[in-house]
Amino acid sequence: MKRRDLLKLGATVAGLAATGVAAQEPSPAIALDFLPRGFQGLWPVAQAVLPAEIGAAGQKEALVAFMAWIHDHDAGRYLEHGYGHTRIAKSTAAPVEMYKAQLQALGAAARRKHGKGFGALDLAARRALMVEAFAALKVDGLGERPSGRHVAADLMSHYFGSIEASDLCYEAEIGRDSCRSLAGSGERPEPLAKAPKS
Amino acid sequence: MTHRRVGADVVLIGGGITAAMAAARLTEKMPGLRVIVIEAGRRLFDFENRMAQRERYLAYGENPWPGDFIPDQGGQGVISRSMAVGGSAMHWGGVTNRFSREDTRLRSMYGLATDWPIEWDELEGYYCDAERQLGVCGEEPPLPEDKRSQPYPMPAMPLSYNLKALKTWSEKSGIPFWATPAAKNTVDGYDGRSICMRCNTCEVCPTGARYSPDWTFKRLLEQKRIELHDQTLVRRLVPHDTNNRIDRAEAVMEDGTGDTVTYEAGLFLLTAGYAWSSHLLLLSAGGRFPEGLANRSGLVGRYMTGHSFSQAWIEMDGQLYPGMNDQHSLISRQFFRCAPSSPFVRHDLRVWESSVAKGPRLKDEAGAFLFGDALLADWRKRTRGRAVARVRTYLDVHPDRESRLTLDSANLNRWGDPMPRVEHRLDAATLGRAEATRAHVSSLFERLAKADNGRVLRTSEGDYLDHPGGGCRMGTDPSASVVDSHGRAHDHENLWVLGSPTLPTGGCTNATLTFVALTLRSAEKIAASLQSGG
Repeated sequence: MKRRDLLKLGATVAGLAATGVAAQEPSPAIALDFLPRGFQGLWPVAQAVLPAEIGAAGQKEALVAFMAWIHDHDAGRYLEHGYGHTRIAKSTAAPVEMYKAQLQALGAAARRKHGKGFGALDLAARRALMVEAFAALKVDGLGERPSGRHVAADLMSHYFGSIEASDLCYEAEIGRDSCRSLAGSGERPEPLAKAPKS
Repeated sequence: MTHRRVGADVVLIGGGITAAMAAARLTEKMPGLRVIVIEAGRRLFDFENRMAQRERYLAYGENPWPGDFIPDQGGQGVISRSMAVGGSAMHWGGVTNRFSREDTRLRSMYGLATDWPIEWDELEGYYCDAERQLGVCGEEPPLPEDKRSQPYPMPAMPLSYNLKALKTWSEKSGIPFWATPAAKNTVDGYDGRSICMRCNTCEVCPTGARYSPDWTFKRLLEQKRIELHDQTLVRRLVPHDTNNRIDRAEAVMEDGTGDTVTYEAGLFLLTAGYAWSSHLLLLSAGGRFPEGLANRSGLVGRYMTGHSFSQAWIEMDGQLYPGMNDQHSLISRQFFRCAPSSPFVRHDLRVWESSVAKGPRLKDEAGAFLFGDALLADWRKRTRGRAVARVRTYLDVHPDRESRLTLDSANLNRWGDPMPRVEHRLDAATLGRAEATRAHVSSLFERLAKADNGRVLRTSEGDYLDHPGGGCRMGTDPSASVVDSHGRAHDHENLWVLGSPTLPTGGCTNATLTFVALTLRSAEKIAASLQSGG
């Protein structure tokens, strides 16, 4: 994300605060200063879509990684042109404006249906609102990487597509896509060390 | 705009793996020769950026080889857009299987397609040579027909835990499997490159363990054995006014200047790959050669070849951990052979770990959305005790004469030159046995699936021919081929076509090692020809 986009993001998040979305109660155990300029509206989404098993610290880590992904997203870069069916395409801009609008819409839906902010809802109610949002956009799967259709689905794609999530699923130190020694590759991967929940 | 004239002993047109191998061998045999390699695309000698480019490729799907193509220099049916120094072999997977004796004797043994004008035993020696040049790791094949005259330069890529389990599973079918050979270092420092670190992105190898031609070109440049003229597009070869020798190559700079260059040389080697070699010969039509150069037979751009493919995803009992070294695979060459008395079907057989149907999902079977712990639990449940293998065959299919590369007048580049259009067509015999081939492959997938409570999840067939070649096929008869077995054009004594365009048929496994072997053989012949003054 370019500096001007970050500024725009900040301005919009300030707008979200005015509408009540960012004023929702996040987990008290987590300081949300890692989110840019009051983008705290994404935290209650993260709590609802990421596994509780990784704890609040793990959820925060996943959110930080997702925000970094948004930050480093560049428009106008040539995409991999494939093999067999070659195509020339360029990356589009980071979907910041759309993400902001979607967070705003979740907040508005929460107020309309439940009379309180999105973050004040229990996890089941938050998920129900996201199901409605996904259904409206025909989001019914997770991509290899975020596809820019809905911020919650993109956060999920980003996390569940990660090396960390794969290791968590298999409960093993696979380290997919990390550059590793050939030594030991013939052995069953080591069990995943249990990280303390926080 | 300016115009330059450049002279050389040998000019190579096209700067991919074929040019790298030919230039290296030629300048080794003939030190002091002035050799110029001309490449339309740019040089991507930025190894130091490769890890960062890989990261962006993984995170955003960005091209890990920035600048490796020319936007208006693309055709229809051309399998890769890559146009840069190193060519498609900058992003190849490094798989280096050999063809087999049967590939060179299809007509004699089966009455199909055509024989190659080369003896297998001679080619086998050049396979060993090619394996040394590329740095191939592999294991001695168990089948006596695959006997090698020399060992692999490096020990085989170790089987991952997953591949060991898949080997046990797949061999319950009675078919032997072993490690697929690859141009990847299993020994640190081979050819000055790193050992493989199983990064799972061989298409952009960040460690240099997988061979790519930039390593060869950089070395040749450091040793001042060649000149490399990149961003230089050769638009025409021009023959002598009265004899059949090629006089010069006319080129234009692709660096934004539009400057032009005329190259004059004693020998012209066309090393532009399967599409652009035929393309240039056809584009050079005119005067005494109205159908294009080297085309007295009318076969330039014909018999475009490759192999078709089928694959299956098979689920079976067992526990795999996808991602341990997911580009490495098992291979069986059992089906490279086909008894002449049996219905003809030849193919390789490869097995990979797979995470198909085993990834995280947003909805369960009932269509309910999954979030958080429920999604993780669903993912775990589907990956516990059941694993998936990807199984693929490359099938030996044979091109029809009408399998063609033509000039597409509806698709012009900025210089007004028509771009290539490749339309593969299979010959009547191949089409005639298609159903039987499909049934054979299907039964083979089922045979594999039988072990460990397996079932075929899904299958697919390729809708293009992979590892394409042809268009300037080699042969002894000038009326039925474009070049001789060394790549020398029948029609022009100082014009040679090297590499994949010369393949009469595409075999049933990855073709790079084969055309590299043929290139090394050609380079030795060219050097001998120069030494003898011819």
